[in-house]
Amino acid sequence: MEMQQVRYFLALARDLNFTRAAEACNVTQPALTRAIQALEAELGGRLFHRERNQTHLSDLGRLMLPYIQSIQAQADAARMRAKSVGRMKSVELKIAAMCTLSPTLLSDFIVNFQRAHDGIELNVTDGAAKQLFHQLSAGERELGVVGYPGEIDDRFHALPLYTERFVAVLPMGHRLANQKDVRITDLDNEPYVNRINCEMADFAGHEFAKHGVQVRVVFRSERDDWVLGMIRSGMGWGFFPESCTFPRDVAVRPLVEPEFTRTVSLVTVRGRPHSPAVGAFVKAARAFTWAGAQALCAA
Amino acid sequence: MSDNSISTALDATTAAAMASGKPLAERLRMVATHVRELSPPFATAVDTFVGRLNNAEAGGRAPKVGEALPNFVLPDQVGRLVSLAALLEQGPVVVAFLRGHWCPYCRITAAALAEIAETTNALGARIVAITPESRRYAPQLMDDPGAAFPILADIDNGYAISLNLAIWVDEAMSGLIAGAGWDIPAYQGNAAWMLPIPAVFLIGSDGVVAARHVNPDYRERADIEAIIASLQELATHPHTPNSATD
Repeated sequence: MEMQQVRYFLALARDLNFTRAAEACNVTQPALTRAIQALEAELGGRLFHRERNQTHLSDLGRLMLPYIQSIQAQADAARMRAKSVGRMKSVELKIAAMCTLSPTLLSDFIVNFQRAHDGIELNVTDGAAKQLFHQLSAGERELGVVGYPGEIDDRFHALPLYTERFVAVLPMGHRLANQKDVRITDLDNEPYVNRINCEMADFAGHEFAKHGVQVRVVFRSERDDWVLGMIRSGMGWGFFPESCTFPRDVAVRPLVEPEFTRTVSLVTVRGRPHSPAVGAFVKAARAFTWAGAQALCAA
Repeated sequence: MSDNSISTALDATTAAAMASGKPLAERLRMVATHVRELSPPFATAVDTFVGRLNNAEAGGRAPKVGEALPNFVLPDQVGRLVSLAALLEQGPVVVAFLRGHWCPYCRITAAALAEIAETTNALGARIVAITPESRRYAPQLMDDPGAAFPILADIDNGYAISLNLAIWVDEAMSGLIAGAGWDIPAYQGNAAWMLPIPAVFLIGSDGVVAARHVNPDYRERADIEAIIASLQELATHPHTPNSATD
């Protein structure tokens, strides 16, 4: 497939008229026709049906249209990347991470990225999910790293990176700490230490209620270190994503029946032109091997 | 045979071909012959597919001898960005396009390139391979802890496309490839079923293509001896374009 053929195909798919498409591409109509025929020969079928004065996309043409559109975008991106890398000097990339995300899984990636792009300065702030989506739409932040359990608004594009499970964190001497995992029915009426910023709480809460499990909140804090401190001192159990860094002297057990998981995604605002630094970050995230948790990002 | 036993059966042949010590063309032929034995319909479909690409002169507009190869900036298997411009500052560069770790011909070619890496280094040249796969598959494309050369991830074939070097795998062929046990959308992270035409470009330090091999018939690869010969030629006459290895 040649870039010239791609350009002619897209013009003809838009105009559905050989004369107009040739004019738009600044070539003669026979030249455009030859290029389309060559592309059809390579793809193994007609892309357009020509009927008297009308030109339609064929089934194959309709099938190929989105791919060919993305081909042009990919080739442009590759060229822009090759050109802009020298210019990505002292660029600041503003990233908002959800405050409940642990840096463990992200830090390897970020360190790797920064080594490869020493001109880019990464500025990572954290906040609750709602605030983060607001910062993205307002353009205060260019990229979000989000592990949101619900549907993400259509205004945003989410690239899934990995999934992780949730665990019950218990004081060492807790009766459930002897089990290899914890069923949610085991937690009925157990003293619970609540992380105020936990986006999973609403989702998990419904599930607990459905199983007739009473959640008895004995302490609330925005700060995970406080919550973990209270658990360590024996106040109650806590609900955490597995990638958190836990102190040695607490018991961490998988939650089962049901399991709770969340997908961590890289979020950008749809349709907004992004800087080469954002593009480089997203591409690098797609090429990265996400270790530890189950990797979703296959690219 | 129509299930994924084709890919499994070919693993052994690929390993045997790599260990055979035979010239590259013969190692590749061992795989092609085994494919034909395992599944005549698969081999016939490949003939048809490749025949169509040849008739359409796919890859015909890829950079030619005497033309400059556009710059690229792509991450290697550990995520470092590698640019052609930076490589060229150190000397000539051999740029090899491979389809992916799943392709037996590509694994054999990668191993053959690794074998000549020392010689090319001695001639002042560097080798890089480019594939459209996520870098997690790089160790399976070239099982070499010493990593004789970088394998660069050209996600979504962006660079290959800009060189007029990408082809679309039609539904008949993609169905057969998937049926043979190769999950290309998973390896590439997209469902476009685009692959690069296997190619080798020898780029002089001036950035100009000194020799090239571009062949939509992915069962045949660049002649390794010819690459070395061109490099030697380049070392003695750095600015005379060499005869193509096409």
